[in-house]
Amino acid sequence: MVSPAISPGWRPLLGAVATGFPWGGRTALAAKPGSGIPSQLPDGSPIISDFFGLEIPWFSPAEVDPFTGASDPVANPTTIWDFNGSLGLIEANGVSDPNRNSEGVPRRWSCDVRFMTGVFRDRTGRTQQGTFCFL
Amino acid sequence: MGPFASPQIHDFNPGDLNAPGQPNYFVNGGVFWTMPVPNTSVTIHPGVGEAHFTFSDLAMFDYFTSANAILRDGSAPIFDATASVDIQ
Repeated sequence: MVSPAISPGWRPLLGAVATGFPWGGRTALAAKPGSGIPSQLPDGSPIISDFFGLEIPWFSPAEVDPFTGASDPVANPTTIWDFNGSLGLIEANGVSDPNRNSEGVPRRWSCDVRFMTGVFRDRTGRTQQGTFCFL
Repeated sequence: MGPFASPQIHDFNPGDLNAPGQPNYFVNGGVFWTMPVPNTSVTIHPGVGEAHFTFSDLAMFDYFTSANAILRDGSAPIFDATASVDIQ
């Protein structure tokens, strides 16, 4: 098995940070014991869903592009529901450094990486604080 | 690596975060390609629109293709992998 490595030195093509980002319509106030597991989005990208033939609880960067303002009004850049906090999103692509991957050859790559940090309502209905990564 | 790279030879994601004992798959209620990370992995400066997101060697999977990651149809194997991120 080849040990894959994600090359550093990413060149951002699209990046954004948003704060005070309530999704789910409710604002969480304090952390309590609970599952700590957030809920998935209740809907997803119609484009991606049509492509794969099943509903995927996720929206593509093009649908949530904060720079163009052309986002679908129902598109949600987070991947967790009942969330209030800060979100960062980067969509980037490039060519890997052959000296920094196990295969020793340049490879095209692309990524969509997002962070979500703040409070969310977990599956037991409890308010939690946490940080999550979409990759 | 990304969803529409062609030809695709790797596809890294952490699986779909779910409750303990439940499949890490979004069709079973998992949160799509999402995992918890340490709170310290994010530093934000909202006033200037800057952020730093970094973590090292977090466990995830290599599904090899996006179709395999989404459909889990056995068209490719699923291997353990790790990823590190440093974005600002």
